[in-house]
Amino acid sequence: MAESIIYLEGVTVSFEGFKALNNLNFIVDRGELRVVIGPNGAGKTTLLDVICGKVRPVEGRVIFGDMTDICSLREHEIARLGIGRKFQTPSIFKNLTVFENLDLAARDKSKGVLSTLFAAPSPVKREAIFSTLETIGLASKASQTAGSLSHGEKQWLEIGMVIMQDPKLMLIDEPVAGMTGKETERTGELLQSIAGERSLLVIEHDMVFVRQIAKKVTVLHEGSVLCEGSMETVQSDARVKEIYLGREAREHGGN
Amino acid sequence: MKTRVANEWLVFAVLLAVLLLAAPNALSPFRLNLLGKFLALAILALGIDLIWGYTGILSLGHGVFFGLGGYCMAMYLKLAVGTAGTYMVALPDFMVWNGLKALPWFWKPMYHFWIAIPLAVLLPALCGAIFGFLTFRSRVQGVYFSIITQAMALVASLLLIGQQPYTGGTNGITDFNDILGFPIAAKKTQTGLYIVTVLCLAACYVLCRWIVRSKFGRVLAAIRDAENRVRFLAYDTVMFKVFVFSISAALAGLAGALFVPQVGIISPSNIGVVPSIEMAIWVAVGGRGTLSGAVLGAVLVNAAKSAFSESFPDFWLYFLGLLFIGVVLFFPEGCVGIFLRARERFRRPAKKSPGAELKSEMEKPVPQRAGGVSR
Repeated sequence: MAESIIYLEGVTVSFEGFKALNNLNFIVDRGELRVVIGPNGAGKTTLLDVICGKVRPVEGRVIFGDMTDICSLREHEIARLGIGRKFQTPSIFKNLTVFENLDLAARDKSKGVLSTLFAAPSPVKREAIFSTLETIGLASKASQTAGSLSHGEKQWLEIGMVIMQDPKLMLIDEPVAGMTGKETERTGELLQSIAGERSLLVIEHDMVFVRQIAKKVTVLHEGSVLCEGSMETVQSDARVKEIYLGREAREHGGN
Repeated sequence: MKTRVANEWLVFAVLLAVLLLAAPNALSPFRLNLLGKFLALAILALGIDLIWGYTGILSLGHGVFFGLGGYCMAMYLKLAVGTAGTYMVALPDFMVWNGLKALPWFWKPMYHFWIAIPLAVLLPALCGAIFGFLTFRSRVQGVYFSIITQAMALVASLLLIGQQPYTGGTNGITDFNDILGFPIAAKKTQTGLYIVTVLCLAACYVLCRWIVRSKFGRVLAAIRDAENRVRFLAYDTVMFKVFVFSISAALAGLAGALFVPQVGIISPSNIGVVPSIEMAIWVAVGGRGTLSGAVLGAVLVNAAKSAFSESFPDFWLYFLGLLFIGVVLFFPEGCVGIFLRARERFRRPAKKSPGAELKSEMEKPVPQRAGGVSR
């Protein structure tokens, strides 16, 4: 078995009695692109929150890489280890330019108070930022304020910010929400090109998109893993059909 | 881009020359003294702008830091009176009538100018850092932070009033004779204090400008927009906020230290809840998120206060309240915002106004930036 990049063991998260994650065991291998699906309230976003330190589990361990238990670390320390997060609603700095957004995200030896006070612009970094701008298709908008971008462009900018962080593990929450079909397809290609050297954990509702990118899918239900495997395996699983795909089918049938 | 920056420095140099050379000759000693007081307060406004305009954290307790600086200076000045006071003893007058026999320990270092003055800046910086660390670390944010700072201002003023033998109580500390051996009320001394104030303001402006134009400044703006995002980009936002709050407090302390010898008194009425709120209003009126706005606001509002208090002393507070409501509702970017918008319209009359961006920007103004990318 390949080495794992993130390993959750018996993780429980409780919000005032409601168990968003319930004794969850979950592993992502190095270089893998994993998609997590599941109905609303299944704990998908909470799973990402636990990994990036936004939410602390009441029980269980979260092991990053070889042996680092990240449960006791603060958000910026986890980010420094090499975990990048893209949020569900695009979370960017709307008053800074697109370029500045990426510049702040860029990986640095130090991101402390003094090193930012005395930071000098570096040509190497500038190069890297422009290369990312090309990748996310925002090169022509480098000096616009991020707040003036369209919704889809904001999504891309945030993905670009996570790329600039140069993380080992990227947590991507609903990357194609609010995107057009063509944008969705491009995003899928982008994510697939990133996987391999990095590990990706993607949450998505859009089944077309999931089919496009997923090799291995995990279905969450009520805070635990219901089923895991290739898209075909998951789709043919009776329980999955019942709780998720079935319901979706019913909803679509009803429309 | 280059020419705009050059223009900015030109304006800066001209203003500095006017303040240093023209004002002392053109203004009466009374008016010059008033201007010196306003410019001292402008230093404090710069500090509030750093924390509020640029980082989005509203402090309603900067009077405390102003007071720390002011009281350090006042303690030095009071001790410099020596035995020349009303009672002909080496103890400050209010200690004598409050029955103290000896100088309290924390007064003793204040005999020395070169201890008192650094303390006037370092003490607020330290208190700001500790207060900031405790509140920011436990993620106190938004209006809750403002309320806590407000409580801090209330506690500080009550403490000063309650400890009359050590602090001079409600009356504060006043009746000074000399500063560094110069008679404090003399015209020449006051002009000297005015010049020192102008130079300090200029230095603080340059310092703040350097801070907000650095990458650090962009992290501050990012914190204002989406603090969580900044954390997940591996920045320890607590330390950034503590640092900028501490600088902000230090500037307030310096302002207090410059204010006291020019005004001749510091008392709890300068540092409590109401003055602390007033300080935020200066910055709101001038224009949050622009350093020139902070300076302008402090001078304008205080000049208006002087003018108003001379003619209608009872109505000043009502006027101030109306001014604040008016600015918040109609000109959230203050005077400088109005100016920038007018200039924009004047320059590009054909193009559509930047209204879309400016609208509903209550939380923050649009800072003018050099930007990382050339167009």
